[in-house]
Amino acid sequence: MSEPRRLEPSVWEVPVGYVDGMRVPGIVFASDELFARAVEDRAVEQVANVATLPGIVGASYAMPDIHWGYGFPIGGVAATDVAAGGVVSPGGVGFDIGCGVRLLRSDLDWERDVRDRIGELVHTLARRIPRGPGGAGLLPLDRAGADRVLVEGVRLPLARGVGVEEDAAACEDGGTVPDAEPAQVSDRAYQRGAPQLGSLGGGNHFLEVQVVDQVRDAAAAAAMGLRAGQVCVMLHTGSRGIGHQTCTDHLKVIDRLAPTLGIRVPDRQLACVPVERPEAAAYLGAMRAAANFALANRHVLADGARRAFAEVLGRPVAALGMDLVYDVSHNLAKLEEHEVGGRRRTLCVHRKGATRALGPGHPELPDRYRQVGQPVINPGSMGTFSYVLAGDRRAEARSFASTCHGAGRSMSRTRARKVMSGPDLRRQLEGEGLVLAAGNWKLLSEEAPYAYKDATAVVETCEQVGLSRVVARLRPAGVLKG
Amino acid sequence: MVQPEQHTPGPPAAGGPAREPAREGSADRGRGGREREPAREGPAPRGTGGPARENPARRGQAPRRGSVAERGEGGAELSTTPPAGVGAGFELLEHTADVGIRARGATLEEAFEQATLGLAEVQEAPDPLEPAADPGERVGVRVSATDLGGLLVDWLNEVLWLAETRRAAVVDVRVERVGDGTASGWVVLGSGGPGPEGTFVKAVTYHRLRVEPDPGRGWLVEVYLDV
Repeated sequence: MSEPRRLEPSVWEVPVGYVDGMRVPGIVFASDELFARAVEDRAVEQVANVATLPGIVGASYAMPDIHWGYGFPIGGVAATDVAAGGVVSPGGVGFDIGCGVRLLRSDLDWERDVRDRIGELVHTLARRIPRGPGGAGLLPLDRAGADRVLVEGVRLPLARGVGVEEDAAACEDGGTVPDAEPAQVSDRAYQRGAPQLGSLGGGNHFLEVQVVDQVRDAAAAAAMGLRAGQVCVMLHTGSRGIGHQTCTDHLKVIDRLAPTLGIRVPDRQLACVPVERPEAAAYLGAMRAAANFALANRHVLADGARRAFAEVLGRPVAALGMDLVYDVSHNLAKLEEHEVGGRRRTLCVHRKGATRALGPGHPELPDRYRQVGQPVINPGSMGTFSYVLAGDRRAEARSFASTCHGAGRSMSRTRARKVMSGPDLRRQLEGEGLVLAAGNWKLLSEEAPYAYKDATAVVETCEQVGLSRVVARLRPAGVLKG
Repeated sequence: MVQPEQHTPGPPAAGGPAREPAREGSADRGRGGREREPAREGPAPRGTGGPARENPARRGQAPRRGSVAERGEGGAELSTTPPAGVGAGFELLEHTADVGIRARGATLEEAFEQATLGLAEVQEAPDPLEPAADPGERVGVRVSATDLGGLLVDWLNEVLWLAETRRAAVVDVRVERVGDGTASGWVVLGSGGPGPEGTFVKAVTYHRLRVEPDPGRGWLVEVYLDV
């Protein structure tokens, strides 16, 4: 077995031959320490497994927040050449289709406006924002409503008076992923997910009240409306049951079909079929529909957050300046044009726990971000710094314009619970001045800061290798756990 | 690295209220399910996987579903349990982001049942309510797939879907038959949803999936959940 080698600082190559059947090498962007952990974690083996996918081009990439996933590593990016038999793998998107992060800025100053009200604010958010497993969301949909949201994304809640028009422009894809096919979303997925629009879910999903702690790129921060001392809201969730079931349904079809096409993968969860097959088109249509649900879900939740602020501060929503900075997904496959071997090609780019990061000047960016690059929202672990990044042009050649998505786990949930109990962690975090609301205190320590990598090390590695640059650092003030 | 988190059957709590299985006579609304026999002719006590996690709040209470004391007063079934079932149970496997289940059974059906109890454990289905208050609802489950691994994934995904859409918790399970491309049986769904301390499960994956004979012991299955 060939061993990985460091090509340059924080860039590692996993050579062809690391596992059988690799078609391209793996490239892992990681400091020595982060890379050593990824090897230990088996995530590097997963990077190599992904390199066996038919039609993969460039390399099987992994971002610095890489960790062991199921099939694909979390933090993985894989692009396949559609015209050359390139495949799509539902496992390369994962069950939480379209999961992502949304950041709202505000005209509110921490010291002046919010500091003394933070307890009441978190309490009100906790009352207004549905979270935890199952349960109805803020805007439960009937079948007709669900049909529309799967095609229109944030347009459906906008049509019902939820949110403002400017919100759509500040989303990846303008808030509506095109070419969605609700007919490919099963009745079972509808039943599971339609009532859940406007709910956080569980696990690592959250809503946080944050304060801009440091601005590192003044021009980009100005374009995003960010300044030191300002209050922001960051939320992380996805497509809820509709996405989970959509992946489950299509994965079953593709798992059955792949072997009959002679496709062999080292992990069954990597099951895949060529993008040009009808089953792939069906999956991609359903996946885009679920991604629209995820966009609309975050849109509805952001509106709920604005209303909670308005209630507590006694001001109308419009007077809060709680504009959307950006909404970006980190679990998606997209058909994108990239140059490979000197030729423009249509690639199916899977990002599993990785974020698209378009550099300055990219034509797909909204006008306000054309000069500074695409905002990338990078949540830290609970109780630690989060970051706002901006795309770097060099990422196009480095990683098909992709960067990290957060801190990345470093410890299993079971171990995290053994280190400290949920209630103990609560006391510790509250002792540090954080206000917390969780439906499930016992499981709080599964999401403890010590169970995650250092988000600072992750974003600095991305900056060092040219995937993205740091714009601002945010510290948490209030946390609502899913 | 995968580190099994060992589960040993918890001892029946002395003095704890003996619970009826609570399913007898409950309406069978399942597809092809049938009334449960009062005393199952079968190789093993089901659900010998004990509490997955330390839960002080439940200490001293009735044993969780599946322990022998649950069925029949005073654990009378103990003596009727053939030794073939020894070793049936499940354990949860650590994973950086997710969680795995390793389950064993004397038969394939029993291994599937144990895996289902493992799923319920992760979700932390509440202890069954008092039988008089809520007997739960028995729902038939039938899935088809081309291989045993696919059957296990489909079975568990079906159970997950039922629990989530009905906002219910899995409180009992029976797998009647696994073979010829189908798995069939039933689950009992208790009202009230998974426990407030449960882990939210998104889906059952094919990652590192195993369904294989366990020499001298029956069957071994392993499956990972996305949580």
